[in-house]
Amino acid sequence: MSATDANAFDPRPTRTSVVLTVVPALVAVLASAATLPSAGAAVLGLVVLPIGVLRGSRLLHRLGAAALFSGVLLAGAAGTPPVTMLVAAGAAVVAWDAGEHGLGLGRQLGTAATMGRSQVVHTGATVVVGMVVAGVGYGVYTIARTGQPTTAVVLLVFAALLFTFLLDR
Amino acid sequence: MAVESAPETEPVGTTAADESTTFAVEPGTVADRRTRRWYGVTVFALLALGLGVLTRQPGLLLTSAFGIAFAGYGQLTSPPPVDLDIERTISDRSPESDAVVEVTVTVRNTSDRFLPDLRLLDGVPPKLTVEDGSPRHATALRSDGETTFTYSLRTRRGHHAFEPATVLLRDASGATERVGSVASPSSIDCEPSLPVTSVPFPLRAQTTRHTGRFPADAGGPGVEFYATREYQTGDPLSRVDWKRTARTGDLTTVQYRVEQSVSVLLVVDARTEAYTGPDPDAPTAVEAAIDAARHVYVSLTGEGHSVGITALSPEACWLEPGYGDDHRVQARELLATHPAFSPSAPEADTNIYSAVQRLTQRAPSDAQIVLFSPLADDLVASSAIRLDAHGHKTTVVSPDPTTHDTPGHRLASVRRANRLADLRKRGLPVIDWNGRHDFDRVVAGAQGGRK
Repeated sequence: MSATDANAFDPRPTRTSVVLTVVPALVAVLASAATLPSAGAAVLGLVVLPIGVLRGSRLLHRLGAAALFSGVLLAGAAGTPPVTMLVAAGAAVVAWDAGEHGLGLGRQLGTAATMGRSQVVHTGATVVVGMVVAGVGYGVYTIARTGQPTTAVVLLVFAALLFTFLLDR
Repeated sequence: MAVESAPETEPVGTTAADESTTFAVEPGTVADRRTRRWYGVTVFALLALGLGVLTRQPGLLLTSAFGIAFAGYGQLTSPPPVDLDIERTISDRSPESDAVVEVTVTVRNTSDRFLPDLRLLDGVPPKLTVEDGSPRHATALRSDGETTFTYSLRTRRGHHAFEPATVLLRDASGATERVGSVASPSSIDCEPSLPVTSVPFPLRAQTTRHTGRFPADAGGPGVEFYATREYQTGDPLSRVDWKRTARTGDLTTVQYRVEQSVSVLLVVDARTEAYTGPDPDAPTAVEAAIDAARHVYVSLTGEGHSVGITALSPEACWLEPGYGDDHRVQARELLATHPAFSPSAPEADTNIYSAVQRLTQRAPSDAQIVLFSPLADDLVASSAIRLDAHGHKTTVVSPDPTTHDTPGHRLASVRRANRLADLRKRGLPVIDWNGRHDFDRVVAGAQGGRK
């Protein structure tokens, strides 16, 4: 195929992916800015993650996601309240997911293809699932804290079962 | 601490370059692949769990539960079935060569499930190039919904069938990817029309002195009775119709059919060796040779010669010398779509000796030959000499596929120049066409030089 036309394959994701990565990453940074190390790691992630997506570099994307997740973990270790932690972790997962999805689309279809709708739908689904999971998780946490050991134990057993199931797959 | 690198797709070791290629799946069958994209989140959740136990922070434990639940989301969804209808609207199904054709693809989700992530790679005919837009498309499609995308192709001579479109379906989480293929037969037939007119092609001089086979529709000196007309001063006495003059009293001259046309056989070198070009993507010398043959056919039939077409190719290809509208249509079809003139090189080798032998057996013994060849090897040059020695006055039209960018290319160019010089030395006229000028202009120039 000729290299001079639109067919010169450009595997970089579209700008939509970058936007869909930057916005949740920013939320994650704000939510995990508890201490200097956590804020530093998260900001590093906020910078590197979108660059990785913009340049179509899977390595940079992974490093950025690692930094962002590290920031969230450090913030958690420093005693960030559970609700804030859920927001930070959820936003970090959405940022990583949007970037990864964009990278995959870019590699398979190229920049020239139309793909905006697919990206928005995918990230929207992730956000909705994240909110539901966070809501359920927070509910369990509240029940466990207010001292209803039986319920908590049941939920814990259920969680363990689910976990085993997942690891088995 | 790092998020574990998660390979994008199975099998492990798939490189980035492979991901963009299509995957061979027969229409109607599917292949599922785990993308493993949520493994990183699982690792994050386990790290949060460990750190939470160490630091006794409830926030971390909750985050861990959140992460594991998210990873579970990735495992629980399954990709929808490949139930798609693909329809292509092609702006011109029988375009000219080197034209731009718009292809509009409409994809319809005929399943009853929502497709959150549909990626489609249209099966562009292998020999055509995408001019504008992209034959790749990604979208989300509800049940019974449809999406449309458009791209344009630059056409090349020949019959081009679309291949089945490759479809990649992912579930909402993207954990599983289903590869399918949807066939939707459509094709583009590119049969370039013959040029309306062409400059006179210089045939070998001596044969035009011979009486040809084609009775021209004109009166003059000849054998067969054509018409009578009033005597004009200067008419030879031997051609005066004395009987008629005696009967009517008027001097009358008999005219005979002018017969000075010849049979010409256009021989296109379409062996694997001739499929060369300045670079792998450029049109090959065979394309140029066919283009030249088209011009020469029009030029020679326009002058009343009887013209046949054949190819040096593993595929048998023969058009008996002829003329007229029907013959013209046959010639056009043959040059556009005959397998011997395929846009891609034949896989089999051509036995040039037997090809030349068959040619001399079938061709009318007085036929002139115009050989279209890039002269990429010595065999074809010596074949031209053999044909000429057989009494078929041979002219060579040689599209120049050589470049001068590397020492190897320069060497090939010099060797070709030597073959040209050798042919000319033996009295075979060679028209060297380097592709930078119109063929008409080159022919006109060659004729001017010969006169």
